Amino acid sequence: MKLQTKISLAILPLVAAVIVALGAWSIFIATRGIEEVTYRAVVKELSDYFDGQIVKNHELLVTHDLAKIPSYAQRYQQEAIQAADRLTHFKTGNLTIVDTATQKILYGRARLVKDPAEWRSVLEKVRRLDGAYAKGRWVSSSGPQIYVGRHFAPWQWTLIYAVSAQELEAPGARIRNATLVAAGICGLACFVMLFWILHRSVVRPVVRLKEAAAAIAAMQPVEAIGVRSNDELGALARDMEQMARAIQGYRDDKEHWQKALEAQIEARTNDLRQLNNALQKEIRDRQRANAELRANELALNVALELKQDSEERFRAIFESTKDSIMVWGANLQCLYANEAAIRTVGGTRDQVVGRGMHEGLSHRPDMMRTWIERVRRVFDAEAPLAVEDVTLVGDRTIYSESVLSPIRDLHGRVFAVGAVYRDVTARKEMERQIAETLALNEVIVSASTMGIAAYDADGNCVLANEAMASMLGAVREKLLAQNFNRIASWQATGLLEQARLVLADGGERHQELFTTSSFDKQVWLQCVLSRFHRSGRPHLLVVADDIAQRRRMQAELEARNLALEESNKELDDFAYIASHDLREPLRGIANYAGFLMEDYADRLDDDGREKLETLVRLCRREDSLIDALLEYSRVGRTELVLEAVDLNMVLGQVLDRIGHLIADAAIEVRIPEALPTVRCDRVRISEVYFNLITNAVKYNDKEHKWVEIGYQMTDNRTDGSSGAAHSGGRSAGPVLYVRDNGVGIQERHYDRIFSIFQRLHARDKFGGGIGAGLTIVKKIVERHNGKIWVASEYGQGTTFFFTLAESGP
Amino acid sequence: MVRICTVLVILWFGGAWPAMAQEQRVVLLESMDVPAVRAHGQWFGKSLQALAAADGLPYRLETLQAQGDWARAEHLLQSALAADRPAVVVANATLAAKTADRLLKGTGIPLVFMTVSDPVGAGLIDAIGVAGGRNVTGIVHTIHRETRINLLLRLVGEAVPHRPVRIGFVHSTYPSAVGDLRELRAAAQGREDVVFVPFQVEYRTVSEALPVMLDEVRMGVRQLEGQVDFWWEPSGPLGESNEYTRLLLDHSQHPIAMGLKAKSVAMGALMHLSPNEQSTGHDAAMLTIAILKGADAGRIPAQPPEKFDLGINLTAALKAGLVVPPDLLALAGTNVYR
Repeated sequence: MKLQTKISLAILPLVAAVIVALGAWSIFIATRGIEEVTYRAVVKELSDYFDGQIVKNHELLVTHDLAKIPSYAQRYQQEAIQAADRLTHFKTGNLTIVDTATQKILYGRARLVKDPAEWRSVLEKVRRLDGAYAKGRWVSSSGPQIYVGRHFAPWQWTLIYAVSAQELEAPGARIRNATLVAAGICGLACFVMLFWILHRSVVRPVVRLKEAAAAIAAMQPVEAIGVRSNDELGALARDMEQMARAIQGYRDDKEHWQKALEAQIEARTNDLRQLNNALQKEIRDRQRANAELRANELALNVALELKQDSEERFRAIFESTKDSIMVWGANLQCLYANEAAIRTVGGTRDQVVGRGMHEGLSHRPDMMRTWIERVRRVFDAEAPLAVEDVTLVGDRTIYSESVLSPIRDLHGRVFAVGAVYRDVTARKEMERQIAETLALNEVIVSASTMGIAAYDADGNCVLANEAMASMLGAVREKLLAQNFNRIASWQATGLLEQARLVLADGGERHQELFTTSSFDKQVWLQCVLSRFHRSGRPHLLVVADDIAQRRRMQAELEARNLALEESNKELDDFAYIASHDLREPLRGIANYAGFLMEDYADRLDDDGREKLETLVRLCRREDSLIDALLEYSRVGRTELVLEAVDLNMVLGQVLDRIGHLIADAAIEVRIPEALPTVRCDRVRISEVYFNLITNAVKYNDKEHKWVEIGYQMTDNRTDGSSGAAHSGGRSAGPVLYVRDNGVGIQERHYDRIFSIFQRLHARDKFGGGIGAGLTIVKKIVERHNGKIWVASEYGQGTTFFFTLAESGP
Repeated sequence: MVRICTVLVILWFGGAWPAMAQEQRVVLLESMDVPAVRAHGQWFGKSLQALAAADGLPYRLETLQAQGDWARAEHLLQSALAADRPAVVVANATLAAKTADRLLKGTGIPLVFMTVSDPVGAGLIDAIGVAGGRNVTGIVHTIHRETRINLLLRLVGEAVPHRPVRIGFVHSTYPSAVGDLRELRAAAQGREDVVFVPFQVEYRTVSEALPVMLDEVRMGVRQLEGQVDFWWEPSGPLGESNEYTRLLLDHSQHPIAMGLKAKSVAMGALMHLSPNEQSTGHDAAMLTIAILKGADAGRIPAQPPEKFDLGINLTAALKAGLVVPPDLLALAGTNVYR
């Protein structure tokens, strides 16, 4: 066992005893009074609820004279009871509210204590202490509890609030446990500290002295032993350090002399090495100089060859260009002229090159004087000169551009003047034509009644005509100052977005818009936006047409159509109501006429019976008329059920329905090809076919009768004959028809046959009828937004054509 | 934060005010002679007098009465402006505030408004609680509609347990009344416990054409009678008039659930919740004093009121078979009518 362990074990019991004493004292101080504070907290929670809910609600009832109103008293008590749910201060807290008048438990658990007698005793104790809080303890099924109670006399309520004593005493227990833990930690800390002091003051210095002594014995250096205390161990350590330093001193002197000798040898060696390096460098420099000399000689030769090559190349270029190039020396002698120049001046190369300007241009004296003066100006000014000439050659006007430039020698002195002459007649002609075209365009734009404006890609207006300015209520100058990115009406109408799209993709766009211009004018415009390029940049062209008048007319037309539809509907409604109401008395008349015939026929003479029969017949006819009228109005009133309908099936059903008529009349039914499928109201279209085919059967006096049902696919209106009458319009779908070889219709009756109750024959001829069938057919077709017309040759036959706007399947 | 800034601005100019100053002219333009406008105007006058006396600030108050007529309001204020430049114009209610705002534009004369329930909708300011920089500030005469609806449903919700409570709202085209309906509908949107059934009549000058408006209101009441459970009095001159309240009480079997003014509850409406009149007048006077001392109205945010009054008519509640919850009754304090 080590020394410090022995000492520590001896002191430990003393430390433990002191800690236990301190812990006991802390527990006593900390837990004293906790229970009293707990009681106060429980009372506080109950009193907050008692005063804030029960007393306050009661006072409200009393103050406002509501206490005797049952609904209020019950509601306010109920609210007070519900507020008890919000008591949450203590986790184990339980509130019980007892109506002492009825012993009914209003809130909380029935009983918090096991013994009923103890419960009654507590209630009685609380009730007696009316106006103050009762306190106490009891033992419940869940353990010991602390309770407080309060009685509220006006409502005869007793409130008991119980909290687990364990919960209340828990803080004290936690303090006690914490104190014990703290004491244990303190004891352990004391032990560790004592151990650490012994180790640091005694054991470690002795170990270090032992290690130092061993090092000295082994002739190893010892700088510091690491013991600095002022006790005996510290003094011993310092003596040993002194001894170690003395030994180390002898060893250091010996090493110093050895290192000095080695340094002298090293310095001499370095001097020899530097001399050798200098010699080698001189040899390398001489070799490099020789190599450069050879390279310069070679480069000079190459340069001379290149110069000669360059001159030949430039000469070839000058000779091949269409521009005329000439060079004159200081004495105005022509030093050089290319082929184009010799052609322009006229003559041969010998007559021009090497000769003076007076000589070479002697055949063109005007040209000679001008050019001599120009060449001299360039020699004097030593600066380039650009000139344009207009020369009349015969009936031709020649436009030319020339540039004269001084040519300098290697010292910068001007020794010659060179001139480049170019014929630009063709370009000038083109510029004139473009200018004329632009002027024409400007006249067209100005004179146009359409508004025209152009904008650059940044939105700035670069062109606007008077028509555009007039449409927008502005003057041209104001339009030209605009930028469409900042025009509110462009933003509001979406025109700005369209303009940006056009500038981006180049596609043409159309837009109709109604807006208020920047100049407060309300306009209806139809705009066409397109892109064009100017100076390589995209521009926006806007062409606008004032469509205010057209829109007004459209609006008027729509209003009139609406009024017409309303009027038609009212008429249909009137017809329906009138015919419906007319029918009732008519049936009465018919019935009573029938009664008269049955009961009093034997009392009437022949004249009377005949009149009575006439009355019955007229009633029946009137009934038929009303039926037709009702059917006609029903067609106009009921909604169409539009669907894809196979007309072959519809036709088959109609032919079945009138099979007996067809058989009686011995009429041939022709169907050249299968009918199409169209979008229509199945029931109504079967009525159309029923009426048309029935008419074809009835109005036929031929020996061999036939009726044909078919259709034609055409874009144009179909005329059955030259005498066709039609209701106008074109159809892109099938044109359906029903054709017969019957009695035919005279052209003057084409419109009349579609009027209601109109017959072209005597009432009983051709099987009778009331003249409503074609009217109903026309109505049905028109309800389908279609058209019906007739083509007929009197005595030969008739064709009824009709279309249905909803023609696709 | 807004309130703190406002108080700081007021205190700053209060402290910096020189001891001697010339008499300054304050023009009070009142929209019409209805109870709320009248009460706010009176409290404003009293508070202005007390605050000015405490600061030793000489002033002269001129009151203009527009009598609910836009043209008259414009004429009166134009005449007042032509006579002498006022230091500040105080506008009482929406009609006066909109007229003053229009006439004072570009003049540099500050405008303080009060009894305006929807100053944003009226175009006076951009937002409540934010300094607008337009030389206009004031006290907003409003309470969150959702708060009013919630409070009302606490009272009447149990009377209609299985479907939304239908509340009739007969109002005029006066701006604050239209704004009131817009706010109420926004607050009721998405709720399944309440729905507003409106009927609108044309606004006419109250002093001249109140009977005409009341005739149209009577027609509206007749038309909505079978479609509603309760009535709600709208903001604006129509709701402020006692005749409107009397008409609803006399011509409908359904009670007025939410009155606009304390008088409505005294006459028989179930409840009302409105900004405290004294507090509103006092706050407007404080703003006016601050401006007279040199504060920039454009840097003072328009504020909602600080105090509110809740009134309950117990007799009406008992008649309707409603039990007023104890917390509401406690909140009403002395404003309980029996």
